[in-house]
Amino acid sequence: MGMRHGPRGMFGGKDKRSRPIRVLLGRMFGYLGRFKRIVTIGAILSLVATIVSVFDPLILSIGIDLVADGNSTFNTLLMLIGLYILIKVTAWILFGVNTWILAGAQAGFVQNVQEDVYNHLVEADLSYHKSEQSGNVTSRVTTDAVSLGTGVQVIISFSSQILMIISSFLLLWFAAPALALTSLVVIPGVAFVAVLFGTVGQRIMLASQRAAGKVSGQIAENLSGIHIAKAFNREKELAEEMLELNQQSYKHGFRFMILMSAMQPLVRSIGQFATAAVLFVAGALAVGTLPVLTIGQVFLGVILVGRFMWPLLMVVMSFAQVQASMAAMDRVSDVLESTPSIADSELAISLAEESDGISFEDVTFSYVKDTPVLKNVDFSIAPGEMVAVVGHTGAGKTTLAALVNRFYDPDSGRILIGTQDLRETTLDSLHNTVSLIPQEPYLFDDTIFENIRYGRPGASDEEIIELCKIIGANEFIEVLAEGYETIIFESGKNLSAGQRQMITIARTMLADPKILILDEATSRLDAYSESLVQDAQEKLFANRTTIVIAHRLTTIANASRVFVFDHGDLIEEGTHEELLALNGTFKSLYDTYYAHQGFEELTEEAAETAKEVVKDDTKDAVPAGPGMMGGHGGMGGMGGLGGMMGMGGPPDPEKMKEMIKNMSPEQRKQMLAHKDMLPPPIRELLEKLESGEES
Amino acid sequence: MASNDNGISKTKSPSRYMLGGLIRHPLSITLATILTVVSILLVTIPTVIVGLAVDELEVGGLSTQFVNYVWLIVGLGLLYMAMYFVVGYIWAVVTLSWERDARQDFFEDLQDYSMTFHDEVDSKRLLSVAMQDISWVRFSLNPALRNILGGFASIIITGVLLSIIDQTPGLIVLFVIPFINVPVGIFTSIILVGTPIYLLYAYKYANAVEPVRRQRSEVMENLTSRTQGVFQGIEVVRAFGKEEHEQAKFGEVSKQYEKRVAREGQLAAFYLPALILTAMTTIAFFYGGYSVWTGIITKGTLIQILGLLVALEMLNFQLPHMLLMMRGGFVNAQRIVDILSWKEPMIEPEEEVAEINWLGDIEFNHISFKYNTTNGNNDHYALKDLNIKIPGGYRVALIGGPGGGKSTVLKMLLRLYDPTEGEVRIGDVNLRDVRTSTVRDNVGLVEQDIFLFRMTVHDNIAFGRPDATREQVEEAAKRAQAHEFIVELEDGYDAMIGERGMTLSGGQRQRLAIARALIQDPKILLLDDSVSAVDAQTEFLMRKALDEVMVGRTSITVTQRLRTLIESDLVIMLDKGRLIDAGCHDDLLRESELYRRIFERLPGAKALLAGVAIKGGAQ
Repeated sequence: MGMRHGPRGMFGGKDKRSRPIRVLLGRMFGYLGRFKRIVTIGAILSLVATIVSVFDPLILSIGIDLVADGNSTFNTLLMLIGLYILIKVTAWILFGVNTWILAGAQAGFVQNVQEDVYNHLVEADLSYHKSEQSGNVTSRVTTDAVSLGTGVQVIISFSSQILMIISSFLLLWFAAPALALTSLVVIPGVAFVAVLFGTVGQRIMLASQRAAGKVSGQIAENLSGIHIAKAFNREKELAEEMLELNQQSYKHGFRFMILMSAMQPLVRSIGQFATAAVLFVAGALAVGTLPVLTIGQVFLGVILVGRFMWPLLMVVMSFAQVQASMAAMDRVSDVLESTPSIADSELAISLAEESDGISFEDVTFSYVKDTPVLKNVDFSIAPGEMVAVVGHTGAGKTTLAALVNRFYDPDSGRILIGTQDLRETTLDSLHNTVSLIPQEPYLFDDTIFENIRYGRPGASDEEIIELCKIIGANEFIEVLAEGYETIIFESGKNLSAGQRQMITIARTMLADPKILILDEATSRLDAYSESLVQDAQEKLFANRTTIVIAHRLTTIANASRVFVFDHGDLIEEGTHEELLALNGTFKSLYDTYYAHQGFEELTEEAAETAKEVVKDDTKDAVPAGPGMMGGHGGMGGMGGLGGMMGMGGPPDPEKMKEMIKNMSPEQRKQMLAHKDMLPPPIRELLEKLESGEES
Repeated sequence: MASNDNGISKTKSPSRYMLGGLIRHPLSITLATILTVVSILLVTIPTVIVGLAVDELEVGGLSTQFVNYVWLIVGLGLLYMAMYFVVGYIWAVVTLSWERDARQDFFEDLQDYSMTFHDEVDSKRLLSVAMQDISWVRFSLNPALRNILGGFASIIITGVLLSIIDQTPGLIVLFVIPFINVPVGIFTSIILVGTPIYLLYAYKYANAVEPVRRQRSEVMENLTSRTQGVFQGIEVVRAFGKEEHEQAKFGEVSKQYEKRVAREGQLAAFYLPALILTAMTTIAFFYGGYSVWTGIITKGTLIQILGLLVALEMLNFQLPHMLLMMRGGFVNAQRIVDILSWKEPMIEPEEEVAEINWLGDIEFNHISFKYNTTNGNNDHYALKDLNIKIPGGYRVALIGGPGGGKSTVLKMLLRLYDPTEGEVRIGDVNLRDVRTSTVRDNVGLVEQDIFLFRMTVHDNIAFGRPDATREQVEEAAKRAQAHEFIVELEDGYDAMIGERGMTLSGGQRQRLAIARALIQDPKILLLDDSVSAVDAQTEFLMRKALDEVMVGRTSITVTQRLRTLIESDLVIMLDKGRLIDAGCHDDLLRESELYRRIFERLPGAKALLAGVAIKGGAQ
């Protein structure tokens, strides 16, 4: 593997929005619309609850006036108490029901967004995935969706806070307009806090997030390179670097925290000033010969002003959160609005059972307009044929593989499997027939069993073990800590490159595709592992139509034909020997990239020639596509025996048994004579047959 | 969390871990707590003053005294602002420096753990613990604990103020138990009885949410890793036509997540403690109202009582949230402590052998090795009874099947692992008796998946020796055949290498790694030379670099290059954790069936194989 996907920093993403807030809010409510009834009920409950809860200080204030009056009875007091309890309990129940309902709706909302976004992403064009880091793509589904959920919550509580403020104000207004007006003294204070947090606060917060992001990135990198730090005894220096970043993050975090810590005393003391103001005004109005206010109303004024503060503060604070979730909605919208360019056409039919072989008819393709990557490519590969594709970087090899898988459609010309145009077949049936092994063996974070079973869900454990025995993967899997149940993580950091490749081979064999596209892997194995992987691949390739993007000498040497691509053109084709005899592009490619993989000494002269070739063809010395997996091999080395094994076809144990059973006794004897060269399972089978255990 | 039983570890309880930062600054925290109490007093007292002012209003109208009360409230507000800011400041310093140090310590502990740990634990998880869990623990201290303390202070101060009001003549109720009259202050009792009930229910509430919160985080983790896996491997998903399958699976997981989120949100509904506060206010209202009615207390006093209790209700806004945050922080602390209490199986020797001949023979004596498992009963060995002797100064090629044990052998020589059984000896010294740092000074590595840091080219090479000068770095680069391409980079030796070295080709990366090893100048060099396919020019340079780096050392190379096999003094073949063959190329070609397989597919192989006397069945 050229690189593994280590963990990445956890912060990031664009901050600028590209859509107006109206559109984003609209989309948000569009989703909420799916829960229309529930949200409506919630809103009504919330409205009622807020109004009810505003009245409880009123009861208290009336109580104060009444009990002091002297005319009231004990029963009046009891009645007021009853009313107070009623209001409190009603409000509590209403708020509770409301919270209950909205929690469900909010969770449902998040789930809806997640599923929509995920479904879009799974079907999004491959180019999108290629251009984005997988961590970023994932955060569309996780962080962004959750942030949207928070946004919804904030908006809902925002409206209930506003409602609370308005109704408190109105209550105060009806009780004493002068007090209501006095309570407005808090506005400049709150405005000041709002502006402070909107500007300075925002900036400090972003800086602090960036600093934390750096720490996160550094930890991620150092964990990925831990073996190097250890091998070179450099833990201490790395820790010092970390300390520096940590200190930076502390500094920014501290600023932010100070600001946050200042907020509470600020708002509370503003509240206290307001209390003083209201008390003064109320006092002035409550005395004299014609008191405008009762003592109870003074109390009411003081309490209600106190009540203003928290909702106001929350409203101010929620702006930042609403902004964040609008940005999330914007990113999510990018995903939802993109339509995949590859989809089943309405007339698409399944790929027929007998369709096999690949034809390109005058295919031209470009990723970017007017810079074709493939130009008028025309060829046809017979069913069961194995073709190797070679060429410099940028010759169009990987594109070729992507086109057969219909990750993209050609600009002009057509691609056929059998006689069916890819664009007229269903993607589902195409992918059942054609299998691609990408350059980097990719494994999911799951057990080895599940990774192999990916090729065919429903395959039993026994089938998988049997298959692994045939390709020689069983031994190493069994030695792993948990055998087949070993969980693979970080695309297989707990496995060697060879093990990863063997597992991908097993997976593809289980899927048993008719057509195979193999982009030879980026990492080389040691010489012996490679010979084992090649054995396994021979079994995989047998009798399948196969295109291999070849990096290995052995692959080329054993292909039935080799296609030579140059700048998007198919310029030479033929067998390895034929092409060498041509002494053309292939010869120079061969000398540059493949010859030295053999056992001959590499001379300085050959190196010099290679340098020229590479210089001519590419800007800098980039290797011919990073890497290689054990090529695939024809049957050459095995002589007559190999040919026979080649006929074995897909290494389904049943089929293999069938094949061996159908052999003539002479053939079996011949095989047994060389049984040491046979893989153990076949040997066992043969021996069984010979000893007459199975007939 | 994987762990084993025979190692060392430093276990701490989660609560100790959580409070560790506060304990370290006892004075600051005490000061902050005192200031918290005082400042809460400063915001509570105005309620009392309002009551006094109202009484003054009824007696003296808009008197100077009344105006003074108003100013007093303003003054106390200012004082509070200043004081509470100091509280915030102290807490910020204490908790944020705790967070910084906790993260640093956590990172350093991870770095110190042997590779056994890093092979077992997903680094994604480590990262999220280092960043998020530690942050959450800090949240549980500040703002959560800070606000909870503030809440407690409010309750206590309210209680004290109410008990003062209780002293009003005539307000105390005498409960007559035979022979003793027990004076009971009703308002004090409201606080004394109500508060514990309130706290009990609040605690219950926070506890109920804990398992839900934990499950929610687990489902989220699962969802994230699934999703990321699918997007990383989207080509595989497509190639197998598994889009719908993945969508269905995701639908399931996200529905699970929905359930947990809804459950957690619904727990917040019907916050029972709120009702308890209401009950307290109601009783106070009743008794206070009654007392005013009977003329024992004034309106102002009633206003004081109600004002105090209504202010207490404001706690309902924050307290449940803060309690959850604190309880949640405990869960996070548990996760951190779990990782920190991993038992290190690799033990450094107390005293190390002084004189070691690193160029001496390397011996593997009956080495067996098995990996740790979570359930502890793994009977599969990665290496089984391995016996090899490598003469000092030899060039050795190491090859073997996938999972055959090659990388385990290399890691043991670096003492990244110790063998489960048997011993590795270098120059007749058991490696267990040598400190890991000494081993790694003398044993160098050029790994397969070349890892370069996001530093300059110079720093990456000097990684092998921190104090290296530019001349030494250049010298190493020249010998590694890397100088030529480095000077062609835009900033030469000061060029920053992109993330994970992606801006360089495989061959260039390998030559940088060779330079890094050269400058370290180890006596034993381990190379995993199985890198990407390269053109002949690059290959030629790499071979030259390798030749250069191997001079005067014992080298062990896991290799793809057939030439290396031919040129090695010794080829060791491992499979399934056992030694299957060893010898020089010519001998092996003659004697080993398996070794011959390597060459069989090559063009011209027949001639080569025919050239040696073969016993066995190839033609």
